Amino acid sequence: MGGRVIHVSDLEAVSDFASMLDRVRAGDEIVIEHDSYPVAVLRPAARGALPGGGNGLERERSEFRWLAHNGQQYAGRWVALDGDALLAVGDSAREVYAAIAGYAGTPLVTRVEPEDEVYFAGW
Amino acid sequence: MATTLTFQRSHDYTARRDSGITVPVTLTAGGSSVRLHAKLDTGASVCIFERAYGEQLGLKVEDGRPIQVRTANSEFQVYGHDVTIACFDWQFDSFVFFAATTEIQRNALGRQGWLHQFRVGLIEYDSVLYLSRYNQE
Repeated sequence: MGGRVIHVSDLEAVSDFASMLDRVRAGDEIVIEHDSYPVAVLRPAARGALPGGGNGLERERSEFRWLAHNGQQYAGRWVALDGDALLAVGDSAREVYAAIAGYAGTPLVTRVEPEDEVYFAGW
Repeated sequence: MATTLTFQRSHDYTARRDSGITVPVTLTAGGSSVRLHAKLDTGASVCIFERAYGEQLGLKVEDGRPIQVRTANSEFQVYGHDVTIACFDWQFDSFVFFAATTEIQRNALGRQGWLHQFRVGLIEYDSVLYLSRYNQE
């Protein structure tokens, strides 16, 4: 299918590594876990260098992964990311943009929604 | 009658699924760009972004086309501007709105300006969004 993040146990990965590689070749990312804790990640090799860091789609995937793994440390705050590099943290978008003024690339600037935030019911 | 659709891209939004169907987009205006995460919102008539992104693009937010947008129980002011939206491998010109106040902390990809550009498939259970441009197989 491609483009998916698949979580498997370390035992499952060892028992059928060829299948894991097939999934990676198809564009999926495999997170290998031991006791539900990630110990390794298999992902397709980048097709080229990211602008100001690399391939744009791979950069976006890195940012999604970073937010999944680290985001709750910054819950309710704003972060600037370029791939898996955290550039700045602040209490508002303006504060973060001020902190990265002069940065050559175009970082992702986003608020990290707290996991316990009240459910959003739509506008 | 069964219908089969094919899509050019799939997007796994598992990492931010708790807060909605999250899509990475780049907005460009006047030579400046911002990258942000927005929520696919089929209930939104237009695309609405937080004010700070408009400011970072160098836009004078209040110089845009003013409209009121309504929610289930309130209304708020937004201002429309021309931008270019880049999303995955696609890029197109669009007319989107920026909130008048910084209290609006939500970026919505609504029907005009974004959804009209795509064919969309969704399997929310798997957190996977399927996309093609509306005029492509």
